Amino acid sequence: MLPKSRPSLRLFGVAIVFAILWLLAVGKLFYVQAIQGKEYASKAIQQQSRKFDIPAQRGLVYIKESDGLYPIALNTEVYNLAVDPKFVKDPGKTSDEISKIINTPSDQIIDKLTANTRYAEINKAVSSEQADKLKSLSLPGVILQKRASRYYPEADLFSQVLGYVNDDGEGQYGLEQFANSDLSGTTGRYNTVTDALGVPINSAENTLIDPKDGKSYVLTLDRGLQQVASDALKAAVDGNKAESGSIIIMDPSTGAIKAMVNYPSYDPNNFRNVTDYKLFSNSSVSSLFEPGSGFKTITMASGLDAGKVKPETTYNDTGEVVISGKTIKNAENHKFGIQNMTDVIQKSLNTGVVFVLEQLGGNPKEITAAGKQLFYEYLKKFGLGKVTGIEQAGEVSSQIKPPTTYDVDYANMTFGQGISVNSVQMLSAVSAIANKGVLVKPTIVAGTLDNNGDLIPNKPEVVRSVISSDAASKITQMMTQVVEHGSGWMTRMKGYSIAGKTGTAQVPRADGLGYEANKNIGSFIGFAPADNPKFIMFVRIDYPKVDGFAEVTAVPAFSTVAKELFKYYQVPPSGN
Amino acid sequence: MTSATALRRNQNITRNKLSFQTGPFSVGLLLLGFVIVLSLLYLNQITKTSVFNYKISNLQNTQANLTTEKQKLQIEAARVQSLAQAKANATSAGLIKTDTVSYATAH
Repeated sequence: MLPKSRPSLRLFGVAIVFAILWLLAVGKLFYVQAIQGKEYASKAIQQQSRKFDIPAQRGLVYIKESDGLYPIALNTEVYNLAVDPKFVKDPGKTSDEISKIINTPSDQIIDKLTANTRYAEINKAVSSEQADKLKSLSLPGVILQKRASRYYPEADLFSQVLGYVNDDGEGQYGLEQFANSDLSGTTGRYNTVTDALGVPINSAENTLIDPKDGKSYVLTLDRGLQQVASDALKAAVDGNKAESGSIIIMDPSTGAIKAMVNYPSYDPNNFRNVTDYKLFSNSSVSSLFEPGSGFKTITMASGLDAGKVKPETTYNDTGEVVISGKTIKNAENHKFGIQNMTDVIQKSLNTGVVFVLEQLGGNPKEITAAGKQLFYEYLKKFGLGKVTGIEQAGEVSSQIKPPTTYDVDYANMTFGQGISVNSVQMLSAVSAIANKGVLVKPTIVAGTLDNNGDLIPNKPEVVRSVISSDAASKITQMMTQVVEHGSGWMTRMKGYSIAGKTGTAQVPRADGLGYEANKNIGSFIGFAPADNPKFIMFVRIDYPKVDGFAEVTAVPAFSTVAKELFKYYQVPPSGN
Repeated sequence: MTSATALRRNQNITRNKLSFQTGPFSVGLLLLGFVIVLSLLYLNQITKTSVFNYKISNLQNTQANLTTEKQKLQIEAARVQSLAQAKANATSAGLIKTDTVSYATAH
């Protein structure tokens, strides 16, 4: 038998070594693939894939016109213009070139070009035409980043109702903020495998989630009426040397707002230039005020509906009434003696509405807890004490003191002092009178558009029946006397029956100690034709600096707009 | 002897079976050919895919440009229909505002 050769042993040894190496390799592979597999797989996916957000198109905002829809908020593209100063070769020449194109002084640009930073923003809203010119110059270090923006063709006409969209694509103020989630839609996403340079490549692993474009809104506003109201308001504010003002026009039967303007206003296309941020707010919903005598209509309507007073109910007006030791007087210390309830509204008697509150409590000599409770319940039924729910951001709720408060506070509330409302709440409450006692929710949204561009209309929302049709009719008759023979005479029009009520409210001091000496808010609320109203309008003029009450400051603006409204609604004058 | 008999006499009584043998070289060659064909098919498909990707990309760019163009046209249309523009046009055309409206009476 031959001894084992040495080569065989070496071969065996090599085989063993290879076997061990193979086992080590297999072991490592197992460790990498089976144990660390998930971790490496996720790292690989991170390296080899990218996620791209696909922005959704923001919904547009339209108003209805006789020949279709007219857009009042559209989408556009603008560019952020910035520079990386490190790459700017000739700051002087570069700033001159940019200055010519974006119409900004060169000295405001050159600081950015020489700043010690890698990114300096020059302008956030360069138009695509300007961007094309800048691109054609191929200026080193100049950066242009495209992004979505809004364009408002009617500039300041709808500004505070619409709001604007900021540089981050978020709606601010007005409808843009209120309906931001609906308008902005849902961003899509493209998950894709990429090559070594990060360029997407076609792969079965790619996934696409389509963006969902935002809803487009159609508003109830009318462009022509908005312009008429805007012009009249500007004339009233300027003519009365007032600080500001508002006009709101509504269809009382549907709650559809036909015009809503505030002055001063701003151009939402240039919102970056606005320095007074108060201009952004829609003061018709965000600014509370004490309504003053216009509120007497609510008090009287409550008394009539409760059956506690009638138009012919009389009382003795001594010019003042003492409540809990405090004297409440009529405006300008007027006293008229025996007066009926129509006189109370026509002559705007504070003592008369306090009398109504006393009647509500069942005791003609004093204000009772029951009277306050009943009055409070009526105020709630008129929708006061909470927001109306109109589609506007920043609506502020009106404030009503509870019935447990002092009698004198409730006495003051009867003529609109010590109670605060916003303009839409005031309009909405009185619209219940115009609408035969039924309160309808005010709205500026007529509906949304479906995928085919067809309107899905919103239905008018009846809130509740507030007072009886009979009570509404009686208070309406009283309000017509205000226009025919009272403080609303300046809006009297031959052949037209207008119901209305003026209010000249004092302005509470900021420290809570009484009222400002020389400030008032003049207002007029009215509807027409009185027996079958086509519109209700509220005019408010803040802090006029002319002598006189609301009949001088607010009524003329109402009259101007009402004349146009009769033409708009094609209401012919009656023969009477 | 008839011709038929002669044919029988000359007839082969054995038949050689045809054999086709493949060696390592020919198998390798065949595999190589197969791989080349598959590679060509693969390249063809990849090229087609790239062409389609390019077309899709072009179409997407066209779509984006059209969307931008549509937005610009919408803006221009809205701008020329704006009330400010209408006022300017009315003024230049010498139009004046009507103050009174007459209503026809139905009989």
